[in-house]
Amino acid sequence: MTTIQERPRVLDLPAPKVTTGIADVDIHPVPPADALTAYLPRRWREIVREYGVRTTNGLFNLGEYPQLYGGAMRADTWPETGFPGSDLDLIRKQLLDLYDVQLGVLQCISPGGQALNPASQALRPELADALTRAVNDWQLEHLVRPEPRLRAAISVAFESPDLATAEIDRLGSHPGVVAVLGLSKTRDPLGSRRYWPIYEAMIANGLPMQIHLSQGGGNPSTGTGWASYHTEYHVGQVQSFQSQILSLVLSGTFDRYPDLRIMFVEGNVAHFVPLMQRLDYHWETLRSEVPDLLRKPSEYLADHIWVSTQPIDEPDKPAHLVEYIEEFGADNVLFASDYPHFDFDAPDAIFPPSFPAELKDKILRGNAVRFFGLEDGA
Amino acid sequence: MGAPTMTTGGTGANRPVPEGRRAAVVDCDVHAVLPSARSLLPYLDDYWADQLVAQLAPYYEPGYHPPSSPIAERPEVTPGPDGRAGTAVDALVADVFSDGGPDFAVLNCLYGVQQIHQPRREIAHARALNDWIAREWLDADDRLRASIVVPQGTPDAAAEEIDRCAADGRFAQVLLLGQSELPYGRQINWPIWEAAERHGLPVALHIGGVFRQAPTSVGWPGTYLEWYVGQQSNLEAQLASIVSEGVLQKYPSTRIVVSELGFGWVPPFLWKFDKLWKSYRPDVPWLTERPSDLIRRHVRFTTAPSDGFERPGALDRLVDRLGSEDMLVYSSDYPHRHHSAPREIENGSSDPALIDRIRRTNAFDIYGLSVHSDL
Amino acid sequence: MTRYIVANTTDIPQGERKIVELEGRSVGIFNLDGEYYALLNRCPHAGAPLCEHGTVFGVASADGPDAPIDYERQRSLRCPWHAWEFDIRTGVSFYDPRNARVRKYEVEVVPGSPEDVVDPDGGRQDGPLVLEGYAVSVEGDVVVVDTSRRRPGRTRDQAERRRPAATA
Repeated sequence: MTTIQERPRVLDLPAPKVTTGIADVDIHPVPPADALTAYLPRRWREIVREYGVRTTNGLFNLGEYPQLYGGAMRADTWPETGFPGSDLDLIRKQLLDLYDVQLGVLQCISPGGQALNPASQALRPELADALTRAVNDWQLEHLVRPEPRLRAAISVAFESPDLATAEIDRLGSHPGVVAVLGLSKTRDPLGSRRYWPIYEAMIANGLPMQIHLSQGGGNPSTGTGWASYHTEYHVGQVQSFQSQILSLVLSGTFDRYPDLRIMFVEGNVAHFVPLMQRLDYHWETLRSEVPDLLRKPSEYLADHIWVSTQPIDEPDKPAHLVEYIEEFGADNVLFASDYPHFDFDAPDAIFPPSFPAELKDKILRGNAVRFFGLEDGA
Repeated sequence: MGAPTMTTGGTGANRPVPEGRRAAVVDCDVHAVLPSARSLLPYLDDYWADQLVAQLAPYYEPGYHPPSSPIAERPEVTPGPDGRAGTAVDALVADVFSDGGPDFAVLNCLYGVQQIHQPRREIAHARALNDWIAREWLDADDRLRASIVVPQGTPDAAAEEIDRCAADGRFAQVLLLGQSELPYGRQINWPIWEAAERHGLPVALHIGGVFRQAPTSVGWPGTYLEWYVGQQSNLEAQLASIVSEGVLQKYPSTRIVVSELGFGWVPPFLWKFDKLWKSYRPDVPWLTERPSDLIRRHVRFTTAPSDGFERPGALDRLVDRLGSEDMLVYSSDYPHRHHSAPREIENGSSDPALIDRIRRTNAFDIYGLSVHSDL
Repeated sequence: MTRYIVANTTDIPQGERKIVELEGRSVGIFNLDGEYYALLNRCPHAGAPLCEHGTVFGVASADGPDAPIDYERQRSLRCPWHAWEFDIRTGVSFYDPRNARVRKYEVEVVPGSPEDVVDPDGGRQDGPLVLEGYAVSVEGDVVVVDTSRRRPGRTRDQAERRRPAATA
């Protein structure tokens, strides 16, 4: 079946620029109740109404670990009605205006409020496709168009790369789109060749990918079974990112796609440093298993892997934070607030007083230029 | 290094050493290899022996160190009669206790009984394996100690096996694999912690797994290198589980030795765990102190592979980030080959006192092994 | 020592809170079953509006992972940003009692009879009213916040005794 993909009206949007303000790479909008309905074809509307959205757990409308407090929302972000992140004026007031965010990148991971799994995790590929398209069209029309400081990372049916690439091609040239949104919990590690077509489409459209932490995805919450308590579940999020970075590097994905840019969002920074050092160390012994790799593993980071600061690492000695960021790569760390979610990071609060000003400047604005391919505002 | 530094008495890092003795240098992770499934036949009863033969003696050689890959053996090791390192006690003893070597070595036999799905077979084979270790290894050299291999799939039976083996004081700890079917903090696994504490035995969490599910939270890694390096993530999960589920409150004398799984990942893990504990305290109200403080007290990490911390200054920086000098214990990971030799970890520090802790006194805290001061 | 009338008791119903500005600082006053508590409206961790948007929650404790969980409602104030908790009575954090705390203010409920306090300008003023030195006219009981630092050497017992037992 060949259909001409309907494209939303392309806006006359100027390219995003970060000059005096900052870039925030992780903002979570929530579509108001029923907002997506208008963007869903009737047949899917009916199916969702009758059967819900089936995902990899046996719950009708929940992720595996329902958040402990108020949907994991920052308690001061609830609008008069609806969920945090559903009121554009409040996003402006509490985030964009307050911190002078010039580029805020939307990570819409929950189409139906706090409870529903992300659209891209719907098990039925065609439904995941319809839901992610609806999310994307909604955010472009209702957030990016009225508020061009916000730009979208578009959600895609990640586990069905043929559908994901079609969506990337549909929206890739839209000026409101600055990245493709993936999730940390995937069915296979990200270096798996079945995901390669997605990377090809991204590169063809000049887009990088943001991988945001998630639940779900079809594997247990850890590689050694399901966690019980929220401490374990939430601490475990970085473990998924660790597995993903190893897979991306060792699969040769970056050799195959030299223009691939990936950012891990809400996955901390410090832990990647010893992991890559460990990988280098063992690669020296075991490189005969991956003879095609063109570079030493850690050498791929500078060109291919970016990370966001939130949740900021809080060592007992603040100097350790700076050390780890510099060891990871001062040019590859970007600021994220995670607004309106709980464990929000404020750009004026997370940097210890001793934090070097130049490094802070890179994290808050400079490093966004290369990752998102912006015009250099400097 | 390794020469006695104290003439009378002395201390472990945190507990006293008996008068006239010094804390022993311990190699906390050395691998004895079961040469063949048939090696267990003398230690299985008739039923299980006949079962094994009828099955054509399936050899549960684990894939943790592919035997022909570079990690399997260091070039200089003395092979056993079958040409493999670690299969014969005299060869192993000659290598491990060569000049400048340790006073004691702890054997971790990784033969994969834990991957047997049939629970009663797993129980029988774990028992046979421990008897094989006692007769063919521990009897051969009194400097050898060993870990008790337990049938992880049936924690009550694992506890019974700990009770049985602990009577033989040469079993110095309990061996669990890094990846389990259910995280080790889960109450179903408490009989193992209870038994280990009852006998004053540390529990080693060693690289390896039962492979009941993908060994990462995002599916199956394609390469061995990816699996091997990535198993540190499962140890983060295990420690998060053990702490969160309250094992360390329930069994407060518990000591854990994370073995052959690196240690560079620990500081960022502790910071994240502490920060989220502050958020989620009401979910785990028995945790009345920071997870990092509990882990610093209860958990030790073996130094091989050294993962790059053998570079000058790197070990000192790590200890500063760990916030503790107590957490590392020396291991050679014999006969496995890594990018640097085991003792090269000492290059990572300019502090001889730290190296002495790693080689002797930190190990004394967990194993209580000492030798005469004049040795 | 400066003591401020911050509200009539009727202004802060049971379970409610009021945010006022005292000496340039935002302060939250809580009424929990007739007991009043006042804390600085700023989380010491990242500066979040702790009192204004924090959640009053209970405190759980357990002797062990298989012991019963004791739970006392209305003891903690959970920060809106990271969910770190503070004892609403003392401002002391539960995660690091020795080092992390939010400033606590002494609160009293006193009768605000016209004989005691008279507003020189007549009528009621909006906003915080200074009790001593700027006597004002109020009706019924008033909630008074003391902004002075706790004096060194004063024992916890003494501090406890200073706290009003309940609504008069």
